[in-house]
Amino acid sequence: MKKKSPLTSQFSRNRLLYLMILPAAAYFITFSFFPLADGIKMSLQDFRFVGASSYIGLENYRTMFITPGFWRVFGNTLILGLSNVLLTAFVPMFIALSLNEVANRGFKRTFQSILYLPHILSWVVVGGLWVFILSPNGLVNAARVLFDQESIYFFVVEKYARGLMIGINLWKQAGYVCILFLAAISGINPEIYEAALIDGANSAQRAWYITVPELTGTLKVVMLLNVMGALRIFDQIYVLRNEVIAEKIDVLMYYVYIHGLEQFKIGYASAISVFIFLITLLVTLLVRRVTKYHV
Amino acid sequence: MKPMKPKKSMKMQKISLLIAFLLLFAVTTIYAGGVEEAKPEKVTWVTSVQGGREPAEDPLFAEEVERLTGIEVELIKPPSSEYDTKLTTMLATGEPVDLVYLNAGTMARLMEQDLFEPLTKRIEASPVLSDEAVIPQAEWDRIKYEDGEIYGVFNKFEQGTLPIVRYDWMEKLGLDEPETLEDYYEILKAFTFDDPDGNGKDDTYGMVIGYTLYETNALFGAYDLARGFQHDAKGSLYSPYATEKAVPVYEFLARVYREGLLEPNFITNNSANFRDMFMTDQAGMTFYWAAWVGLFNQTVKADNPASPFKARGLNPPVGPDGHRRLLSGQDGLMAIPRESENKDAAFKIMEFWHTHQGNILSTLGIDGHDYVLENGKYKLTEIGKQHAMDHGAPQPKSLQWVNPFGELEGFDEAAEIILNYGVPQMVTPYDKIWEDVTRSEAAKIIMGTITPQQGIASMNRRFKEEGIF
Amino acid sequence: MYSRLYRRTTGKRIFSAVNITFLMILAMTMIIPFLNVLAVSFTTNLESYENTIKLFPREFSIIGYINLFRRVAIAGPLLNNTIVTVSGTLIHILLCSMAGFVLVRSRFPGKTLAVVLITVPMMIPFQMIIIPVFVTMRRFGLIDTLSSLILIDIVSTFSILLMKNYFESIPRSLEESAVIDGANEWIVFAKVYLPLAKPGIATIGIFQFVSRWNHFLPAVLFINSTDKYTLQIALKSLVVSSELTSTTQSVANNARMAGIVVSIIPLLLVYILAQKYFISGIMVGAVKE
Repeated sequence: MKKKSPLTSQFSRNRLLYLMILPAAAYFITFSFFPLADGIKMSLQDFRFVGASSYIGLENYRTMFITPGFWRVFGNTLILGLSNVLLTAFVPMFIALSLNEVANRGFKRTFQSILYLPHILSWVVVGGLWVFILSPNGLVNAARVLFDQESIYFFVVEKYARGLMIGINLWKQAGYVCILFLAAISGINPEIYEAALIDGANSAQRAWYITVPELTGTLKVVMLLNVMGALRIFDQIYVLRNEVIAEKIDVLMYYVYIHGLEQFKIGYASAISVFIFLITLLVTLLVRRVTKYHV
Repeated sequence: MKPMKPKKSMKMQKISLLIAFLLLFAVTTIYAGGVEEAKPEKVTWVTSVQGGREPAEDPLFAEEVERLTGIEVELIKPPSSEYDTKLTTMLATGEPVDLVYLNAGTMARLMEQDLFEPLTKRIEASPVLSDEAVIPQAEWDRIKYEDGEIYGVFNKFEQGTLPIVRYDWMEKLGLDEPETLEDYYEILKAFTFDDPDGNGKDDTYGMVIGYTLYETNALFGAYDLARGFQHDAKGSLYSPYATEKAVPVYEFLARVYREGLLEPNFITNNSANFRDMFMTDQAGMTFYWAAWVGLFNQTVKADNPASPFKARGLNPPVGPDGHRRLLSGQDGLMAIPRESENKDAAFKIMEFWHTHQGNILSTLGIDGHDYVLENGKYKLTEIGKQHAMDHGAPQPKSLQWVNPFGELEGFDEAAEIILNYGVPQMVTPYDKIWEDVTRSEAAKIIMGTITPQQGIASMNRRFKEEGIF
Repeated sequence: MYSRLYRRTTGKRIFSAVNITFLMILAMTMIIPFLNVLAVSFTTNLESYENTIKLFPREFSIIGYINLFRRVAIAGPLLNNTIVTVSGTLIHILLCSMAGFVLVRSRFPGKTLAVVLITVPMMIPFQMIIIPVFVTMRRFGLIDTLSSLILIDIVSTFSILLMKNYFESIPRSLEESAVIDGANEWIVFAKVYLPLAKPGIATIGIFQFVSRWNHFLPAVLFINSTDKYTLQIALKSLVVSSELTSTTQSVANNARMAGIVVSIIPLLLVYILAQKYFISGIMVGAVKE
């Protein structure tokens, strides 16, 4: 081989690696970074469908910051997003732990498969189902009437609105996250449990002192994925919102959708998108620092 | 990495060169493909209503248009739930589109973008569209934009919504046709508590409606209140539903909710839900489109010919000042984007849509597929029957139109009621906001969480916050 | 001692009973929707309008399926959907594995840049880039082609990271013999790493399959002609309704539910087939210290 400068030789040595990552890089540049740049450009414009759009500086951002409606949906997004991040991590962990206590293997396997089902269903189907179950003459209220309680129209009570959104999201995602935890549990070295059993630890102690610490890795990954999705809640709200509870549950992405594609204020919608992107980036970096999870 | 043997390295170099070349080739062909875009001489027509009843029928529809007009048509028909998204994207990115369907509200919001070709001169010059016997001048005047130009051509007779009742239940319980709101209340009460379906169970509601509250306009009409925004004497906007005059209507609705005469899921119902409940003996009254009077009867009878089910349109309630008022449907319009390069051809298709042949296509459908013409008489095929004579405009706009098969049971009377009392909504760019605010507060009033006065106050406060007045 | 043990077992029994009841209730909420969809798909038109949760049709009928197949010529969209899903998933697996493999290799110039290129896209909201992506697709001449649907999401941050984590769990010692034989990076990847990564592949494969099979918005945006419709557009077109202008279109609920059943079956099949690999793939792929 000919003598080359250290850098060139490094490049040529790794030429195959570059080739292998090229398709992914090319895709992301073309379909993520260029569009991102375009989005940023549009956010600085009074965007016109035809003809030249004029640049208006940070006007769209200014509008965003002084609109009360924007801050309301931003607040909703934070509340729903944060709850989703935490609950969709810890509740499935709890389910996985209790499922782990079940001795019957057949039950365990079947349950595990069932748990995953809601993940396959689209939000339209899931939404229709829950509206139905929680309707004034639905299953839940039928049970309430049995116990002489008044029937409640859950979906139009403002104080239940956020809880419902969080709960239904949890129901849909729990199974999938739960599988992550179950898999991690089954990977724990059985010898550790045996040792603990000999020491006389009961099942709660075993779960708390052995299983939970072993799950922190999975927990970090789950949280990180949840965080990236947190500000982008859309489908669920689109399907489940109604005007009565809208003020409590309308989220940023819905706001973007309404302003961009229904009110045709594309510049303004882009400004909010850029804002969402920056916040996500910030939060992700923060979470990565805190959990010390690195790519 | 360990150093490789020279021979292997040579081979690798060749392979990597080859891969690089292939990638380059792929990219260049892709780019070349983009540059070579040919300019087809045909009309690209984006619509959510006109065309085949199902996707597979769309190409046949396009061929039929070409056969009848000599113009080649490419039909783009996205699902209506995402129609606005698709249309916006195409218009915003300058896709070559020649003819678009959109409703008057969407058009009002898009006018600021200056996207559409003014059509006034073309309409005046058109023998079909300027014919008063087809479309009266008053109708055209109604859709003139602020600048005095017309930007869209009607798609069909849009009918309107009206009270629809189970007439067989009324007969069975010996009830008279209601006139005042109080009469309506009595009927709803009887439907709820007098076991109109005769099954001995308390399982019926007086009325069932959808979350839009759109349909209940007939009730507000008794007090002559128009839906949406109106101009007051000084020319500024106000919402009639957010005035003191509307209080009795809210009180009526709150009362029927409180007493269990109104099906309680009305906020989360979609139109399919409440239509279905009306058809399955769960409620005696609904408020819906005139065409559905006929469709309700047809659908129920198709499955169970022996059913006593009989839906009928009712006159809207009359108020203390003798007012009755219904809402006619919002206009669906066809428009030509300024950027189009086939404007003449696109306009010809709009014109064709209002000729007799166009009317036949928009209702019965496609010759030889949906219907056949035997000895001058139309005969629907099996497919045609399933398509229920709707291929974009089941009731054409043209005053000349007479359906060769007659209309479905109950439609004619219902359409008559709409013609008598129907008034179209004034279209403003803020209608979406009006919907959101009014529905939200009205729902709270009806459920009794706030008083009508409180609700009206918050409606006006929210309109002000949105910068409308 | 005896009593303590005894007490513990009673406690354990109660705990176990409560536990199983809790899990059963949870499972019920997940099964009932499926049974309901299935039951309604086999009802008669009129019965399907009844607004109740049904677990069995009162009168068994396949009219919903007949209508579904007659009114939507579903064979075409089904074929298109299969083409897009299968080829898209396969290419996705290959490209993401390659990229994931590159990221586990020791430092090379530009690695940090590569990591940024790959992780940032996950944070870009899709609604923001709809219009620019459409413009790019058109520049490539891909509007109204099935290729556009294959190309969109052909690589994803999630899959690349998952494959990378999976590859990291493979012991380095396995590749050493190959390297001594003088194999280059591609051979190490194709002959050593890829065959060992079946669970990881199954995992991203399933996720891709599900999301591609259910894709909707990209198809609405990029596809114009009827003969290129994919399943979800065809199904959605069945149910046309607009609130502001009068509509006369309606299709009975049984046909809509039949549509859901037809669209779910392939997903269930793939899930059952790949389940074994899937779970262990998720485990190693996602868990990383």
